[in-house]
Amino acid sequence: MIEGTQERPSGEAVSPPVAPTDGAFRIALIGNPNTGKSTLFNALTGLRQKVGNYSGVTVERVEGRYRSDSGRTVSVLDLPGTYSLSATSPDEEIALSVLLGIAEKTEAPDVVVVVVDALHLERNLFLASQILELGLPVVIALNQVDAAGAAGIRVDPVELAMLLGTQVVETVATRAQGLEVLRRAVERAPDLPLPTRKFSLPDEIFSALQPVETSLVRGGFHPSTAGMEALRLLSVDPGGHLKGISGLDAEVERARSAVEAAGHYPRAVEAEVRYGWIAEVVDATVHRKGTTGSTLTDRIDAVVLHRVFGPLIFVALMALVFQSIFSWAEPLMTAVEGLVGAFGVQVQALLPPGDLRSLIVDGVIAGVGAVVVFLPQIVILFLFIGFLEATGYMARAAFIMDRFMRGVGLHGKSFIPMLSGYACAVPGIMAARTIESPKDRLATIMVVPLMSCSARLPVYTLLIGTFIPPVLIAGFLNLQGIMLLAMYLLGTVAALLIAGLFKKTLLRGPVQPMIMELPPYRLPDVRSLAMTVSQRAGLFLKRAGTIILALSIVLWALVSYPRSDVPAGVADDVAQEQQLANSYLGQAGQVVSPIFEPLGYDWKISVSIISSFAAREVFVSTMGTIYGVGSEADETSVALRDRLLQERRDDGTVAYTPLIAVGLMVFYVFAMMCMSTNAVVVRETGGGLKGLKWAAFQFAWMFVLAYGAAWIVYRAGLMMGFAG
Amino acid sequence: MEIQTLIVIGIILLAAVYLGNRIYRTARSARDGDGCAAGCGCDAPPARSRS
Repeated sequence: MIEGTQERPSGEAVSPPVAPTDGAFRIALIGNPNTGKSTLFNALTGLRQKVGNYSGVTVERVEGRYRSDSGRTVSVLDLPGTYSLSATSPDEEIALSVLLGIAEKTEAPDVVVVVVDALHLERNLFLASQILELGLPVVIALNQVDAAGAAGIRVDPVELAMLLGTQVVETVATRAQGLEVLRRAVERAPDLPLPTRKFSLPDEIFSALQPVETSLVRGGFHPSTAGMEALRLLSVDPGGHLKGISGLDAEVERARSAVEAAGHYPRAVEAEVRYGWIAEVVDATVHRKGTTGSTLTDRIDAVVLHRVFGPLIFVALMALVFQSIFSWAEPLMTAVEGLVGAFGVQVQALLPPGDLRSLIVDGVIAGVGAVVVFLPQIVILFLFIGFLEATGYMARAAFIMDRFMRGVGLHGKSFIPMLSGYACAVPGIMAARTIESPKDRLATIMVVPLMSCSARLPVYTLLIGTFIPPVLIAGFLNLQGIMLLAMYLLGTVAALLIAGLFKKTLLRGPVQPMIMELPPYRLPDVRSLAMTVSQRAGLFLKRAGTIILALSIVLWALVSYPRSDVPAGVADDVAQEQQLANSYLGQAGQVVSPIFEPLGYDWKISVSIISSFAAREVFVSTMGTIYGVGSEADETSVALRDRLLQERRDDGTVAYTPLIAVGLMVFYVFAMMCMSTNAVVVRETGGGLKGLKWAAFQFAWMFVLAYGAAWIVYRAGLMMGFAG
Repeated sequence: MEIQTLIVIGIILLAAVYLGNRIYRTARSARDGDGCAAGCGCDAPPARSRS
């Protein structure tokens, strides 16, 4: 037993150790996620388990029991899976406080069992090396040795035990193998010498950390634990259980400055020294059969994750995606346009002239059809995203982006919500729940809607396809694809810069480190890729068949009534223009158009922007309905692109120019035109009045940014001589 | 009133009711829902995370 050998932290913020109340021998199971820890826990304790929450937090607490060979009751606590004891997330904080014996209503363990995955020894030993320094009896359960063997990996448990200075037991939790040996090792552990740090720090780092260790020992920490904590504090700020130790913050700052002055990056020191030692341990204990040590994944990663080539490959891949959206989708899009147009003509021939025919042909088919023609682009976009995810590249993209994210003060985990934002901001904002720091989470929520979602794609492709010529740059880059890439990059770069601004002002806070697992590269499964793409295409069509259909009908009514009395002899196009201008929508357009006039927009664009608050692609369907009502149906009824090119002002000049189109796209990059996203932001920022305030703030700054950026583009273009 | 006009009015009313309901559900989800009623929240699986 460890009583008498382990001093617990004391002082204001930490409570003294709590003696076991029921006399049970206590062990704590800890390990990285996916090491088979919970399977081992279940195998050890059977059905005698109790599930609850740790006091004050929503981290699950699972406890079970078994009876040892000696007849002793052993209580087993399954700690949350964690990669380290950095204590930056609630899970890690709980794990560390349980091990230190300071968790509320949870007694300190007598023995810690560290579950280590034999397949991924290197990664798993980081956590193990921290735990070995806590001054607690430790047993290593070397789990999944069967899977490692099948992969040609054999870990020498005797050599590993020698190097770690503690007992190592091979287990296969899924088959309950090694459990008896493990139970005996656990009983024996308190009688063996306590493990200690097995590597030495460079002199300059050792000296810099001495005052921090002294502070921690004065604060009640065991010298060994103080050593682990001091090294950890180079990369994380003193918080939680360390808050009560006076002068610690200043000592940590001094230590960081000294480490930096010695030419080290303080936040990377712990990882460097621990992984340096781990590499030696792995070299001595891991034997691979039939492998050279460097896998195909390693060789690909050497290029893909390269500091210079990595970001370049990322941008090149994105450029390829957007080029393909135009070059591959164009023939398909033309085919869909033809089909929808022919359908409109057929329906027109079947129905007698009147309001019903106009509603179906000019409202429904023109409105919904104008959006549906962008299905090929959506399919191609998600085909690429699905492919990159399935091959394992997206995890690398997150890794590459982490450097830029940290540059602006955002957590690397923010990349996943931002990546989701390319599909739709709603799940992106909900994915921000995984971010531990409330300030980082809020900063992420604030900028996720700047990522160009799939609803913007129809707007971009309509405007680019209509107004940007398909010329080749440098012989192989399509200008249309470059323009689309520019819109996506504009949103992404703006999101990073604005997040950085928030993190330096309203949401100031420290930058958190990120550990992530990079899966091996693999060929994608065609069936699951097809399923992902079909889900996305189905969702797009569902929106077209519900909200866009309903809005097209309502907009048709607003653009068709009241009927204008046109004198006989007036030309058709003049009569139609008069009908549009006098309709309810036309009248509303005249009211709102002064707001958008400085950006070069007429009333048709203005009302389309307003109606697209329901969903961004409604901009396209609104334009489709307006122009559907404003003309006779023919084979190209839904070729909205042609209508936009033919549109003339009263003075006969072209109404829509490339400059207006670029300004409008920039407006859509920044504007928060999505009621669903607004609703989710209210909910995810606390709900009620607090959530409403954040959502209103977000809508306001995004609108100001969108309006300002579109105005600058338009005015700068005019000054440069472009037609407005 | 012609039957065609009645059908048109019926379709417009149906669409308006659907949109009103949609807006109401979105507002309610902001107040006490889980975001699912709001647009693509539940339909759209987020990009898979491997972190």
